[in-house]
Amino acid sequence: MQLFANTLVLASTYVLLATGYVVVYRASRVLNLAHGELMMLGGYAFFALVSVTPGQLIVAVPAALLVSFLAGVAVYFAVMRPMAGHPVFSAVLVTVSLGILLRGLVILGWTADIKYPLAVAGYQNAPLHMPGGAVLSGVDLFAIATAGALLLGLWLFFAKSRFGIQMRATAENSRLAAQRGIDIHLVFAVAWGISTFAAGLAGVLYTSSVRLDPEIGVIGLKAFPVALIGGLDSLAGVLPAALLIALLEILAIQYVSPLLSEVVPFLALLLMLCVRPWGLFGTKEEIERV
Amino acid sequence: MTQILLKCLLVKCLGYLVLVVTLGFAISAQAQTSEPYKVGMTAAITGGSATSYAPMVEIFRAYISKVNDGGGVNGHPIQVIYEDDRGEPARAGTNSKKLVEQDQVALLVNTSISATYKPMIATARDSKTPLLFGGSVCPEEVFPPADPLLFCTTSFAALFDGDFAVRFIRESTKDKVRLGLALLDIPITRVGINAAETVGKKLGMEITAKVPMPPSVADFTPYASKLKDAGADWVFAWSPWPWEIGPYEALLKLGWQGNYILYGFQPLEAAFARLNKENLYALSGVALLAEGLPELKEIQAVAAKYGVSRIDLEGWVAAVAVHETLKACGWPCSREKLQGAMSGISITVKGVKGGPISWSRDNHFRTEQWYKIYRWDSAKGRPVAAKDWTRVDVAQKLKELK
Repeated sequence: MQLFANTLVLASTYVLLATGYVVVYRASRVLNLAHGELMMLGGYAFFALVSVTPGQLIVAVPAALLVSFLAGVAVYFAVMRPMAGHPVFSAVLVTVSLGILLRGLVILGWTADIKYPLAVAGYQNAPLHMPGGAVLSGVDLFAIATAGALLLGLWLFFAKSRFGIQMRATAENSRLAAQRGIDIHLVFAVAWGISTFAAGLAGVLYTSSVRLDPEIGVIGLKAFPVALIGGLDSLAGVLPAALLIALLEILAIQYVSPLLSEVVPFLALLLMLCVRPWGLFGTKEEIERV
Repeated sequence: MTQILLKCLLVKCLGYLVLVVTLGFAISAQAQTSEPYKVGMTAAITGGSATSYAPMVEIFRAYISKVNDGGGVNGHPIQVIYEDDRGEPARAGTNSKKLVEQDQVALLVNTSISATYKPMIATARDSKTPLLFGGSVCPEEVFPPADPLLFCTTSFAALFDGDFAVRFIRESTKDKVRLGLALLDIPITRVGINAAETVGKKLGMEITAKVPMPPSVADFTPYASKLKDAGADWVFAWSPWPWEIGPYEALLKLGWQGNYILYGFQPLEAAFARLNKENLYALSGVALLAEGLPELKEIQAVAAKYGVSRIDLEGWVAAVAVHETLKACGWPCSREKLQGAMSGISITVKGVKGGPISWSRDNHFRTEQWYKIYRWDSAKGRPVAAKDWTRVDVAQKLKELK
């Protein structure tokens, strides 16, 4: 039972992170390699806000998520929009630089010290005994619920809302969408905002459960195989891929070797690239041959 | 008559005052203007390991500033040239070459991860420059028979820490011990954990699980579950701080009731207070600031004066060692002369360490290693000694362990 609970917790982190990769890729075909650093930024925003409003998680968490969303919008207008017309490869390289820049800025602002936002807020991540004997913490439960809510919310947004449908149209053919009067720059900016919002959620939850320091951005890369296995342009693929990778990792830790947990996601990715390069739910036409 | 006497006294006093002030300025000015002792440090000031090493550099810098403001060493200031290697071997290699060839330093200091050692040691050997590992884990080459150029002040030492921790567990538990071991899987931690495993087995403990963790961990819970499921009632972790405290916090999250011992790096004091748990033990080679000893308060005052917010006493110890060795070297101080001075020196850092760091010709680690074990006392709201300063004879222990 604990194994199942651990899988759900790890999968929820992967869902939050992989969703961000997918949303940006769908909208702009850019692989955002600064996604982990944007998660870290969300963590620092959370830390800064709990420091000024101790005990007020109800204020600090939404405010940190708003900051994350706005950071994504700002990244689009400041960094990605000027890249329009350049090869996608250049835009990807820009995201690498952005990640390095964010890490540097965070060290300048907060030093490299390890921080614990939840403790600053005056809360403890207490264990909760679940039916079946599994033990989860309050933050773990919240992470599972949040990942589910995010996926449901995004599905409703893209399927039912006017702006969500416009975003899908833009993802399909941005030139045609622009000709039909859709403000594609707004669409791209909101896509970046949603992506960093999800990264911010992951940042808030990870830093509440583990720690906050400038190097946690590396966790973002762990969700990369999840996005690729699910299908880079498919939100529907995120959940099964996250569950699959989390389960494989946890089985490797428990029954083979804990060190294999680092390798297993990439082995699964390699296998997927061999048999189904577009991922579980990705679009076949999206794959370009080298 | 009395008035004349008073006037004379006043004039005399003023005269002395002027003399003292002038002399003071003169000494200080001489230290500032005369040729400096040049020391080159390459450290992980930024990058992934900065969390561990940057606080050491900060307090090192503060100590050197204090020495220079007090007139320097033998009338000469210490000029430390700091280079950031981000914990990257290539950068450490370039830094050390620059420090040796361009800056002509008399002494190299390494405060970085073990991956940076190889290129630095090569440069030190090529240029015959003494190299001090101050705050970075002591390499094998400083143990007897020591490399003539390499020295170390760092308290944590893989082989010794593992041995001491496991012996402490044995002493403090009457029943059979079921020991779990946790580590970040890098070569140096494997040495420490393997030593603990060997000694543990010798002492009749059952090693229930050895859990190596990769460098990027999204959640420590699965690793902690493995330790818990194996039935460990004691866990020893020896790794960089996040991989020491991460499994412990995950074990707490799982409701584990056993005892946990780790090496007490700089973030320990904050962790003790934040977690408020009595089953967390930490062995350390330097005192905790919370002990409030006068010497520690003085260090805190120096830190405050020079704007240092994070104090890692390993950095202070390294700076004291640099100061003392330069003092012993005299002036002028060549690399060769400095190496000679370092090979027979004893450095005492009162209040910070349990005993002196004494280097001999063959032993550049130290002849005796001192440990203290702390645990959190929730009633007192501060860390207390679970085992007071204990001396370990290095030569004898090495014989035992090897």
